Amino acid sequence: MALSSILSLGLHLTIFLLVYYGLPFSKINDRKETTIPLIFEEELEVSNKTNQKKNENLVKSQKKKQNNNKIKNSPKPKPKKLISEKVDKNTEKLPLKPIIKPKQKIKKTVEKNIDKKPFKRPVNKIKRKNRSSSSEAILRNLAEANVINQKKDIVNQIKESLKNQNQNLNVTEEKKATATEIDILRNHVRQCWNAPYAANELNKIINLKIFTNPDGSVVNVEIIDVAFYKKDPVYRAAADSARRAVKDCSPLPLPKNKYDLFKIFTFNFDTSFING
Amino acid sequence: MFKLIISIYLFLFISVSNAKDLEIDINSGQVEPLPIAIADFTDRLGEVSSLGRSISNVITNNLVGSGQFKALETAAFIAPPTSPSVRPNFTDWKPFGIKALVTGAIKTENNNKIEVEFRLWDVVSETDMIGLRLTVDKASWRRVSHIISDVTFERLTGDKGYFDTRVVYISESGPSNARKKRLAIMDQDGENHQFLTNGNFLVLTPRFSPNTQEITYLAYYNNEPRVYILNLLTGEQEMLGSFPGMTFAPRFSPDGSSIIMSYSNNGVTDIYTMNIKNQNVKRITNSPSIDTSPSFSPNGKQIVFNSDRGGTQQLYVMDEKGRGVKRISFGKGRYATPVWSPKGDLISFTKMYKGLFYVGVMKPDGSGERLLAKGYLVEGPTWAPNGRVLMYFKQNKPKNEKAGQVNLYKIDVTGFKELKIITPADASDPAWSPIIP
Repeated sequence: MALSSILSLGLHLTIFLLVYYGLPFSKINDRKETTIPLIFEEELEVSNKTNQKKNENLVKSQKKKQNNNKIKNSPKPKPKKLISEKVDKNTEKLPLKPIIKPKQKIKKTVEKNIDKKPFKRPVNKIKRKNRSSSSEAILRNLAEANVINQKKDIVNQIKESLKNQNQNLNVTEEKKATATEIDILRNHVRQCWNAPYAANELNKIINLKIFTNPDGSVVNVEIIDVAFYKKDPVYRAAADSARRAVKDCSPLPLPKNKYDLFKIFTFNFDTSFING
Repeated sequence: MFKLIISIYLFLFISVSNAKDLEIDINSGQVEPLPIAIADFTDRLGEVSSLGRSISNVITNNLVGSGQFKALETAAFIAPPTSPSVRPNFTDWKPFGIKALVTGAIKTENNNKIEVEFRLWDVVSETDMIGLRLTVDKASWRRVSHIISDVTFERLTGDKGYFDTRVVYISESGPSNARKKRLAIMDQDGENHQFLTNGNFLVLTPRFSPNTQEITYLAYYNNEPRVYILNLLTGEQEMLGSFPGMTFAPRFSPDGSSIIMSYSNNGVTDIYTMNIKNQNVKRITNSPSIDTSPSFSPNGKQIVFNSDRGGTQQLYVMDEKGRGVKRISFGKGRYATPVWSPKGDLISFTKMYKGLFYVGVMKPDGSGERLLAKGYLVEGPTWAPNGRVLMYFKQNKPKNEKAGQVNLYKIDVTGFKELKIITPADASDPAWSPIIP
């Protein structure tokens, strides 16, 4: 009996959640809600001083953002730990192995200093906790309304939640990038892109993850398919050229007041234009 | 239990609602020579030596000659050359628009040996891209420069380098009615020149084996054309046979086990292959037309040749057994001497149209024809082993009944950079070697 009650409750809850939220994949992304503050780890930083400044600025801006996004009654965010920067030791040491060769046959030792390991996004526990608290609040109310004491008025809860959701949707719509803004950014970057001719035979798009500052300056460019980058010399040369283009084009002409959208985004470089 | 189910539910919901980042497609850009700086190589004390400057010059000439790089003049450098083990100050190079920097050092060792070290830097990303250290005889400094050029070229373009290669060609001298033709060999940049034959016999159409340091060529002995194979490492020469009717160059198959050629008999010219080991001859085409200049595709499955079977001289492709003949050239004019690229993506050819000669490329299906060079007489294209550069010979128009000069040129397939190769005498019929092992 108890089991069937729980199953029945689960089923009803499922239907209720679907009606309440709609299908998950059809929901418009709520960027404000899901923002994860980042602390960047510079890919090729030499000077610690420069990095610290950048990170401090970032942390400041993230903290400011968090304050704005605070949810009522949510627990206070715990102080974050800064991730210290790492300097590429290989770059500093530049080790090489000597090889002595016979007269006719010259063998060579080639050291490839492939880019550092993929950038890892630090997890923001504070944000996740906020989400969790918020979710728990909804659960608790639903459970109480349906099963236990009906201490709170479920209708009011739903109304309030729907109101919040609508507000969020309005914010998201305002934050959408327009086609013109995208075109300005696209034109800016393609003027800086000088691709190697050999990339004409590349049947793969080069995906770069871009991390920016609010002023449009590029903090980091991450080549997403690192495995293929290491394996394929043509892809590697083309991806390097694309990365150079983004860095050369820094600062990027980002639309004002839409930093949330462009803080982290992806450029997809397509080399098929080389074939005309 | 209840909480667990709901938690899983919400976790899935939250995960899905975390949509992807904004994505922007960049689907156009430029394909232009990459600005690069090659610093003079330093010695143990950090000073620039004449050898260091020479190595730097060879690398510069190689890279610029490829058409894919433009080099900053050394005089414009504001930073002194640094050792490859020292991280350069990139801000010294950025104002010039430099994207890549080569630094190097030479250390003299005992027994006339030198240790050459180099490193390639990405100036924009401020990172080192690749490094190399070689210990060689001092006399091999030029070859070391070519190897460094190859490594740099491959890392920045993605294509294999072709600088550590050689070219065999026909050196021509004397009046047109008593022309002396000798077989000669040189580095791809024209250096380390050497004659292979003494000029007593007329030699024609040398061709490199695709996988060994062997050359096949045609020589007239007592007015009879013979096919020879010359081993460059041992100096041994072998006569494959005498073919009185041969009209065009023998060319190796991709595996080097046989040669393909055209042979004229009873007024009919057809294409044949001959096994080098047992000298068995096999007929590939059998038509009343003139089929000449055959060249294998890199996988050996197809053959491109020219034929007048359609009324005018055009290019055709067939399988290795002569089946499925298909015309691929449809432009104006006549087409000849097709050569399949080692990459397999292009076929180079000579075109004759309105009294001028052209060297061009097209895809194996005949599409995408592009003419790269033109002149009074432009002929004999040969591919660099990476399939990105062509070499050919060009003859100027005769003046005052004097034959025009004949010179070798190379050009990259983008058509961006045509470069004349300096030779001791007139030069024709080049053939590019594979990468030197």
